[in-house]
Amino acid sequence: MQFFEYIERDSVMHSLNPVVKLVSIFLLMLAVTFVYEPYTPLIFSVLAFLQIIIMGRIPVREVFKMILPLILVLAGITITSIIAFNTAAEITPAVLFSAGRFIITVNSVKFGLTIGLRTLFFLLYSMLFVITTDPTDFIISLIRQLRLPARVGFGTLAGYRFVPLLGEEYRSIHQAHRIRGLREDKGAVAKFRRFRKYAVPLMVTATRKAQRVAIAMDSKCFYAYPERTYLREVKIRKIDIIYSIIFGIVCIVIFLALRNYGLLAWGYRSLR
Amino acid sequence: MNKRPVISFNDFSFSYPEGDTVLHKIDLEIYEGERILILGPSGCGKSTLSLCLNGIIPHLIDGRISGSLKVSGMETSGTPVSVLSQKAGIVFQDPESQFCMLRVDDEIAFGPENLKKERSLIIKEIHDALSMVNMDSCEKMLLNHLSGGMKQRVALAALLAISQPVMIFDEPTSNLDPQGTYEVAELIRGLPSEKTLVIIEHKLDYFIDIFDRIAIMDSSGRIIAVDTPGEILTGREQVLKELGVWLPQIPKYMNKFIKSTKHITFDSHGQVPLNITEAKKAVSSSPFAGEIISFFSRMIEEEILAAPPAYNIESNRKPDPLITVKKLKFSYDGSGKMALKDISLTINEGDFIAIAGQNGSGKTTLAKILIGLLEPGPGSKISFRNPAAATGHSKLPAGSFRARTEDVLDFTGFVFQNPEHQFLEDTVYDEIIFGLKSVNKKRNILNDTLMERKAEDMLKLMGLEDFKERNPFSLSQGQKRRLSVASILVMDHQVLILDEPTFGQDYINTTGLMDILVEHHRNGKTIIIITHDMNLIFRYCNKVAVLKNGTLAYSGYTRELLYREDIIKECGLDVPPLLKLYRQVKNDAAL
Repeated sequence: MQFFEYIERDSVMHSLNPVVKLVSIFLLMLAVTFVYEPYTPLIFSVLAFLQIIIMGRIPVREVFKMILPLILVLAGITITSIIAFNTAAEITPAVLFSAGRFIITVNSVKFGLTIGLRTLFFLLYSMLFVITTDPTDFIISLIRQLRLPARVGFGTLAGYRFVPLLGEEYRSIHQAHRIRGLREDKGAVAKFRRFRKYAVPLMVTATRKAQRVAIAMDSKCFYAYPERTYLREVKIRKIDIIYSIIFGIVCIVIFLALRNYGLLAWGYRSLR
Repeated sequence: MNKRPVISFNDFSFSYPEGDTVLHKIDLEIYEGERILILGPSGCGKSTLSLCLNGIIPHLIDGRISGSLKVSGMETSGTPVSVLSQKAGIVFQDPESQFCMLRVDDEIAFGPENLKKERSLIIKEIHDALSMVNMDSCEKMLLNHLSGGMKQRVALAALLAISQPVMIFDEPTSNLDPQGTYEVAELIRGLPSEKTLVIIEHKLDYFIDIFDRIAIMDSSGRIIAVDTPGEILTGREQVLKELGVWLPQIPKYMNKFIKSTKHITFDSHGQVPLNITEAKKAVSSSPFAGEIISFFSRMIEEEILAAPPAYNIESNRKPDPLITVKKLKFSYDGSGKMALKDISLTINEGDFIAIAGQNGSGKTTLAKILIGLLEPGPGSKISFRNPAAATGHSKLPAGSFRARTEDVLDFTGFVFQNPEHQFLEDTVYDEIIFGLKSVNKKRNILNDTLMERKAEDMLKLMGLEDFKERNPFSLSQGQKRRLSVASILVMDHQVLILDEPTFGQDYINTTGLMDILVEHHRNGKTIIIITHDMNLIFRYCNKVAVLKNGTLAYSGYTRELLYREDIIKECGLDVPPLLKLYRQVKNDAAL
C-alpha cells in the first residue's frame, strides 16, 4: 500500500510553519467530528481538495492517484455505517428499503454518508499536511515551537530513516529463510514460530542500528550545550498569522452559511 | 615532526561488564598532525579503541577501564562526551547508520548546530565541507539517494564542519566498491596536514602510503608494535601474517622477492617500497630488474591470477550450459525504473564465476532472479538446468513461477550477504542440522547417525566445533559468516551462490573460506559469487560477469577482462596492484 509522502513544491501550503498548519487542521477536524450530517464534511472535503491543488500546487492527477485506491475503503466504511446505524436506531421515520430485519432509512443513509465523508475529509486534510510538509521541518518545528525535547525530535528523525531499511531487511530475511528450506506451514503454532524467527534478526538489526546512530549523534557534539542553533529557519512568520486568520474566517463563514441553510447539525442525537 | 602528543594511552585497559578484556595495557602516544594506522585481526578491539577516544567508552558504553587515556590533555573518563567529541570525531564503518537527518545539508549542519554556531556561518561551513569532499552543490540531495561512497564522503564532510583536531576512521571503506574506496582514500590523503588521523583499515592497497606510523594490535587487544610503515612491513611481516591481516600487495611481493634471493635490499634504509611509484623506482634502479620482473610474472601466474580452470575443461569435455538467461529485465516497482535491462548471459556447469560491478549495479538482484526469489519482467527467458539430473530443464515461463523456484532451490544453495538473515535455530549445531533435515524431507537418504556425523564434519571444517551450543547471534563476525556458509554447504547443492561472502573478513577468514569453496568446485560444483573485491575475483574466479547500472557490461573469462581497460574503468573496477606494477615496469624495461 502506498502511503502519502512529502512532495516538494514551492507553494503557500509548503511555506507555512508545520505546527501552525497542524494546529489549524487539528482544530477544524475537531469541530467537524461533532457534526452529524454529510454536507459539512463534503464542503470541507472540497475545501481541502482546493487547498491541495491550488494552495499546495499538487497536480490533480497526483491527488487522485493517492485517493483512488482508498475509494473502496471509503465505500466500505459508508455501507457498513448505513447497516450498523439501522441496528442502533430506535425510531425509523422514513424507510427506504426493508427485507426482514434489514431496514435502511433516510437517517441511516445520512449517517453512513456522514461517516464516509468525514473519513474522506480526514484523509484529505491529513494528505494536505503530509504532502506539503517536509518531515525535517516538521520535527524542527515541534522542537522549536512546541518545545519537544531535541533528543526525542532528532531520535524520531533518525528512526524515520530506518523504516524503509527495515522493510528491505524483512524481505531479505523472508527470502533467506526460504533458501534454508523453511516452508510456510499453516496453523497458529507455525505462525508464532515464524514470527519469532523474523523478530529476532529484525530486532537485532534495529537495536544495533539504533545504537550506532546514537553513538554517531553523540560523536557529533549532540547536547554540547543546553541550546542549539538551527540551519533551518522554522519560525512563525507573518504569512502563518495571515493564513491562520483567513483560514479561520473561511471555516467560520462555511459553518455559518451551512447553518443559515439549515444544513448544519451537531451531535449524534440530531439523527434521531 | 612536531612531537606534541594529542592522544596518550597510559597503561590503559578496558573490559566489557560481561568480563572480556578488550583492550590490554595499552601504551601509545599519538602526536599532533600524525597519521596512524591501527592494524589487527578482526575482533581485536580496534573499534573499541576508537570509541574510547571520544569518550563514548566509558560514558555511553559501560565497562571497566583502568590506566589513563588523555585526549588533548583531558582525561577521557572524567570529561563528558559532549566536550571530547569536539576534539575527536569518527567516520564509522556502516554508511547507513551514522546519519540522523534526511538531507545532506541538514546532516552536515547537525554538528555546528550543536555547537551553537550562527546560521550564516553554518551555511558557509556546509559549503566549504562539501567542496573539500568534492561534492559541491549536493546540499539538497537526500542521503538515501546517495551511493555508499558518497555517503562516506558526507560523513567526512560532517566532521570537517565540526572541525575536530583528531579524526578517526573506523573501516570507512569496508562497505564500498573499488571506485568508492579509491575516492575515500584520496580524500583522507588530501586532508589538512594539521589534523591528527587515526585510521582503522584493511584495504591497505589503497591506503598504505598515507600513514606516518602503524600500530599492530593482536587478538588479545595488546599493541605489540608501533613503527613506520616501512619498518613494520619489512621487519614485522611475519607477525602480520600470523595475525591474519591483509597485507598490501606491493610490499608483500617485494618482500617475497627479497626473501627468495636473500641478497638484495631496496633502499639505503633497507625498507620495502610501499606503493607503485616507489616500487617502480626501486625496480628500475635495481641491477636485478630483469629478475624482479620475471619473479612478478611468476607470482601473477601463481597467486594473483590463480583462478582454477573450469573442471570440465580439464577433463576435455565441452562445457554444458547450466543457466541461460536471455533478454532479462527486472523492475522493483512494476513499471518505473529498470533495475536490470536486457541481460543475456550463459553460466556453464563447473564455472567459478563472479558477478561484479559497483554497489547498486544490480548484482544481488540478478542472483535472486536466477534462483527465483524475484520474478523477472515479462519477455525474460531463463533456463536453469539441474546438473545432477540427466534430463529436464527448469524453464521459465513453463509452469508456475513458484514451482520453478522450488525446483531450482532443490539443487542450488544461496548464502546471503548478511549471515544473520538466514539464522533459524538457537544453537550453532541445530543451525547445521536444520539444513540436513530439510534435505531429508525431500529425499530420505540420511539416518540420524549419518546426519550427526555430517554436521560434526562441517563444524570441524569451519572451525566451529567449540561453539556448538552457542547462539548463532552471539558469534563473532567471522564465525557468523562461516556458520552461514556451513549451513548451506552441508546441504550439498550442485550450484552454490554466495553474496559478498568475504565482506568484512580478515585475510585468514577469507582464504580459509575460499579454499573450502575451491575444494567444493574441484568436486564438480558450480560456484557463483557476488563481489566487488577484485583481488578475489582474479585469484579465484575463472569467469566474470560485470554489471553496470543494470546492464551487462562484460561476460567472459577473467583473464580477458584484464585487457578491457575501458570496462574496468567504466564499471568502477580495479586491477590488482602487482599487475599494475608489473605492466609498468615491463613497459619501462621494453623501452
